[in-house]
Amino acid sequence: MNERERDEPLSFGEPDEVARMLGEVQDVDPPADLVGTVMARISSGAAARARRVEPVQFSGGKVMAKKVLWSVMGAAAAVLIVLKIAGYPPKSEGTEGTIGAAQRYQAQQISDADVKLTDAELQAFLQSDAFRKLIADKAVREALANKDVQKALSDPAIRAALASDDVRKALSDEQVRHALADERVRRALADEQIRKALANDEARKLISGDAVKKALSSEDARKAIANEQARFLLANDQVRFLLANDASHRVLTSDVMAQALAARSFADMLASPALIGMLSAPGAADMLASPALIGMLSAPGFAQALAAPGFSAAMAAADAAAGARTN
Amino acid sequence: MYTPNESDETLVGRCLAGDQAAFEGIVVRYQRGLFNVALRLLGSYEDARDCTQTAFVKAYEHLDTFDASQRFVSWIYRILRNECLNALRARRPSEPVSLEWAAAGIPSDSLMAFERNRAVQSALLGLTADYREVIVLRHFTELSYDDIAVTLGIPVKTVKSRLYSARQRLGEVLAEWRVER
Repeated sequence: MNERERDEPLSFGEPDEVARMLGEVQDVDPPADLVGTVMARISSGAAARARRVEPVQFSGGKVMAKKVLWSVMGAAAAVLIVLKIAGYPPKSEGTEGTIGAAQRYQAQQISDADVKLTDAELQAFLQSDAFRKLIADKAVREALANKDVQKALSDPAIRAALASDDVRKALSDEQVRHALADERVRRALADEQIRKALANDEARKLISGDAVKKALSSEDARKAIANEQARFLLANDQVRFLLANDASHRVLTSDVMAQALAARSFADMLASPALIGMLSAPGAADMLASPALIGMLSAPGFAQALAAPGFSAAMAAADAAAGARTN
Repeated sequence: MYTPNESDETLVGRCLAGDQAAFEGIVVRYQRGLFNVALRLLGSYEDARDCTQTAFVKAYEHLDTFDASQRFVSWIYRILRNECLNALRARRPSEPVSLEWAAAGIPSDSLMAFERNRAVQSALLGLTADYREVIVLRHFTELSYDDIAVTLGIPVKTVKSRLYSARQRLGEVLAEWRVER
């Protein structure tokens, strides 16, 4: 008989004789020295591993186990970074002159806006769920080696944002790590919609763009980034090309445009290949720069008109024509 | 230092942050469960002690690979199980196993309890490794079916069906002892 076919009877408990006998068997006490022996082996583990792994010859002539070297450096760096961010060890008065050079060197790596935690806060942070997840995540540990991330971690908003799975995952993206150097990006991460949007590949690409970083200063623009349609639009090469143009950049990152982008129908319209093609034409960006035109485009009445079946049909026809010309 | 009410996840987080002493909390918490599982799987007190120690050390050394979305208890039992299987493979078939430890903790006048312990252990050692491990994890630990499935890397349904088959087989081996009793 197949093992799987015998599954059902077990779901009714295990009152048979064998189960009863097994239940009567008593535990055996573990060796009294087990805990001590394990902890002693762990303490001497680094030295033992260093002897086991293949030595690597470095150019300076010193022999060191490569794996151990990287492990120790990684762990030490992570701990030092966390402690530095937390303001440990506390500075004692009267010793400033003796360690002045070291302090200047550290200040280059961690911004002056370091947040100093008290003993209780440090303990709470080290035992927090956010810290556990943070340190258990390989991508984050690697990210901790990045100068921009170290700087970003001094920001309480970022530490709070790290409780978000999306943000931690996004940290594995080089572009995001780099973008964290920008205060506008860090501030934007306080926005839950932005944190969620980071789960999206396109959004991560966008956040590294200068134009988008500028736009992140605006609450409306942040909403636009969180808008799926707007992300789709901004992922378009031609739209990004437009953003490189001063005039169209001003328009596309303006508050009015950001508000308009937050409206799904408007984003849908801008995503139309026909319209994007039109905007790419010389002079079109200047035309779009007209506040009056943007005002008209973002007016509720215009949005209603966009939603009308006739308009959709006209845009579809224009898209078809644009496609035919391309082919 | 650690406190008994600190969760596994908290202790693991502290270890990863460089607080080695936090791992003592994990060893104290799981030493009895891991040691008894190793003892029932291997039958040898010395081998069980060695495998339990090694499992803890390996867990510490590879703590950074622990997936925090999983239960720590399943992960550490999985390490122990692999260590025990390695020990079984390395053991010579003819190597005798002393079951004197089966008398541990049993009053000297309770011959029946001692005999039952020894009979159960002998019967367990007579099972194949995959039957033995599922019986041991189910009856000598607090692991749920889900935890056992993760520990063994098999579906829950397979855990249940294998357990059924294993108990049937164990029952046959114990039948003679039961009749005599």
